[in-house]
Amino acid sequence: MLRVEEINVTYGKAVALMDVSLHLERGELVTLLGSNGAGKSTLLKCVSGIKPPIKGRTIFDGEEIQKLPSHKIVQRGIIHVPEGRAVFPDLTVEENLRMGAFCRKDENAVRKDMDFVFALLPRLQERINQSAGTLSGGEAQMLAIGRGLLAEPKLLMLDEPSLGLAPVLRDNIFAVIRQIYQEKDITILLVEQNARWALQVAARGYVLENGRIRLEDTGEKLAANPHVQRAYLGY
Amino acid sequence: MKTRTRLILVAACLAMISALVMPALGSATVKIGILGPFTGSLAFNAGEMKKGMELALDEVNAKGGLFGQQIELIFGDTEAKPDKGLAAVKKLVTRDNVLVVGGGYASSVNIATSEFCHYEGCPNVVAIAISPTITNRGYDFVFRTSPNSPQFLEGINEWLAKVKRPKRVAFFMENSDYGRDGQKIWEAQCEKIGAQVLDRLYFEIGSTDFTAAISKLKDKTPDVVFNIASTTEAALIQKQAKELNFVTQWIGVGGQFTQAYFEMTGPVSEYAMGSSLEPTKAMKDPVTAAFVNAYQAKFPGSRPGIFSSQGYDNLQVILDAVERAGKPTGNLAADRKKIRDSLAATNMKLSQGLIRFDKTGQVDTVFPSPVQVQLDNNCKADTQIIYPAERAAAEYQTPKPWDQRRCK
Amino acid sequence: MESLFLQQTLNGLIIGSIYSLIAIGLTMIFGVMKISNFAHGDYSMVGAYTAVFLMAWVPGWMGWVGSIIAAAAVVGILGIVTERLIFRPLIGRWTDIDIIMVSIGLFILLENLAQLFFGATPQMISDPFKGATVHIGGVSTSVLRVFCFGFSCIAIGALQIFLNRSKLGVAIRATSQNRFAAQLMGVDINLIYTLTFWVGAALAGVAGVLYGTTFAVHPLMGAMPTLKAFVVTILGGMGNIRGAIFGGFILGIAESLGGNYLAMEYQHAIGFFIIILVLLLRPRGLFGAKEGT
Repeated sequence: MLRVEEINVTYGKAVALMDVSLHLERGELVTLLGSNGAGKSTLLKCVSGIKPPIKGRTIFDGEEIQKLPSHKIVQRGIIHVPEGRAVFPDLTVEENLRMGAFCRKDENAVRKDMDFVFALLPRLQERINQSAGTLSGGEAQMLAIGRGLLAEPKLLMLDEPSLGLAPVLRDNIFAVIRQIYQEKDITILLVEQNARWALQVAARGYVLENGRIRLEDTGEKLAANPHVQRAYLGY
Repeated sequence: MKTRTRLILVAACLAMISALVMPALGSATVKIGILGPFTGSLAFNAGEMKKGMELALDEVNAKGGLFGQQIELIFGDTEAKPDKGLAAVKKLVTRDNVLVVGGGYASSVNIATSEFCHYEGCPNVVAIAISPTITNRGYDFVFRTSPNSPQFLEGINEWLAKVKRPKRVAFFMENSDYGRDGQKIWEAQCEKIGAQVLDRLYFEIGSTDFTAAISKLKDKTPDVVFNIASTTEAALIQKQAKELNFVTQWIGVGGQFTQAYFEMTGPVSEYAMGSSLEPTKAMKDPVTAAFVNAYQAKFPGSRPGIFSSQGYDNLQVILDAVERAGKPTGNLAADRKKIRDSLAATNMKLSQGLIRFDKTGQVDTVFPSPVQVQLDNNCKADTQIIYPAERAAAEYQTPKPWDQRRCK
Repeated sequence: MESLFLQQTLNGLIIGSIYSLIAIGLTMIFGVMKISNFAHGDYSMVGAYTAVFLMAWVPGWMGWVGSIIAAAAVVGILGIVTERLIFRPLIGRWTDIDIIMVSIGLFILLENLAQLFFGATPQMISDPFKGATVHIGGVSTSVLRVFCFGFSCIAIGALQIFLNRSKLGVAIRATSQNRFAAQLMGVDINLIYTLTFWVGAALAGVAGVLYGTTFAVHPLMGAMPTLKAFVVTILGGMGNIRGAIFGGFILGIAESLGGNYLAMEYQHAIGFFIIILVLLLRPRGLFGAKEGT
């Protein structure tokens, strides 16, 4: 479904990604591990068109998309839920969700998805007319995920969804992600600092270090890899 | 892309700057520096002054110019700001090496620029500025062809004492040397004639909304409001007084009564007063009449106002002094000194009357008359001399309430 | 005494409505693009000259109403042109200070071009109400000013409806709060830039016709609205639209009441005094508590 082929991304003279390749098949949940500054967020930004590569290709459903502007990429169904919740603080919860459906025309389908999101995340319905800036950290993260779902994603890219949340809330988010993956016909690229959980839930995983892909394997095998254990699982 | 954009912008800026700063041409010319706010809020008045100067230049050139050389006027833009004025005069005096600096408009600017000229030993003949400070500091290189504020207001003060005799007055002044100096003179006059000063308000040059101040003035019900303001502000104040239904006798210095003022106010300016040196009001004088006719021939459709006339006289005085000083030797300091001395001996009849300087370099032979804006049968507004009787063309009219006025 | 207070409040409300109308565009542009555009008031100047020219062809009511529409169109296009040619290429490449300098350059350029083409003499836009005035219980004003007030309020209300109810309007607000997240929602950011500049400039252009009819039209007339709009924008919170609306009225009333009861010569300083207070006590502006990241 998505193939990233040997891309390079730079910020000025600093190289953020170097010859990075990865692929996701339809319906897969793939995780991307790496320490801070390894280039995970940059890779997602590159796929979603915010930070185009200077070399290499990204192919989605058989078409090159690396030169498209971000809004064209969103229209194709690649939805990036950014790190740090990035909700619109002065918009209400409902307006935030509607912004998620910005590119969609079919009002009925949007309403159905809205119902799905409210069933999945009932707290959002309770706070529907509240401005997003007043939500707690966990609620804001749910809003960010719900907003991503309203964009009707084929490929959902989640960047650090559990970052900065208390353990209870974190488990709650994990459960929600699992449920979305089971109930929706959806492909997920998950960047997650909690590597143990990520490798459990993901079919495959990549390890990104210093802007290069260091390892690529199934979740199980990665969890058993001594380097991964030392660097990401804390053994 | 980044470098290219930057380069394009830099190039565009350079093009603009080089267009603005025209290089001085060859040296076999008589160079005269002319200061004035050629851009900024007073630019249109400076434009009138410049037109008057162009006429003067034409006339001198038609008579063969000076010493067979071309006369070059180098304009320095003061933007009506003292700091900009100083920068401009420095350039004229030290880089362009002009023989004499003329023009100038706005008291605050000329107080600064004339001081610079004096210390550089370069004669400065100020055209349009009324603050007494300019000529009363004992600077022997500084002259002024326009009356100072006491001279300007002498006629009005006499009229206030003998005819109007107001009991309750207020001040609404431009916050500048122009406004403050005029206020000092009127304050003294009010004390002399026993008028009570109800309030003293000031506004900044460039303001547009005066409703707050006018509402406050209205609440105090003065008979007379002294209002020193330039054209745009004065016109807006008249219009807003009408909006706020305020009737009083407005008295200004008179510099506001320009063509633009009457276009902006129409009949709303009826009854407003000031002093005037307006050349069209003194057509009995043959020199003045000749100026008015020549001006209208050169600029068809233009009204030769006070600033055109002051600009004309200013340059005539300068060129006359340069001629009498003799052909420049090339020793700049000596040439300037000679011109200073011949300026002190000026004695010529021009559009505003006889021009002669007293010991301080102040013209002491030009006297403006009190005028009032009155409407003709077609509701067209114009100023009329109303005092003294021997010069008056019309009778003073007391301002009527707005709803009783003939022209709306 | 009492009627003086009412009169001053009315004076402030009317002038405040024009401040708001100009400041809204400035604050929107700042919110969306993080640009402080010091040439904003010159959009009003160009709008006013549009009216001067059109009314030379079509005088009276028709010309005046046509001028308002024409000013919105002409200045809207000017806004788009300045956004495309000047600001967009610099965003993200140059620092904020550099871009401010560029906007000041644009301000000087527009003023000088105006003086070159239109001359420095102030011009009038003739009042379609022919200077008619209204007097109620000791309070007076002109019909024109009442119209300006009503028109500004309606235009501000219409803009509010657009920003709160329409998809694009909400997208403008969203972009203003988090540009990156808005892009991830599929918002075409360049379209939003253009739209914001268009709306902001067009409003300033229309305000210019009202301002120019009430006062006078000259090449430098843009400086005062720019100044006031910045005061209002800082007062209300940079990028905060509601803040700009209320900020405009607050500034208008503060100036007229402050001028009356404190000191008239410091009338224009009152705005700056308020800014200093806001920056010391509430740097996000009076209405800026919830916005920004």
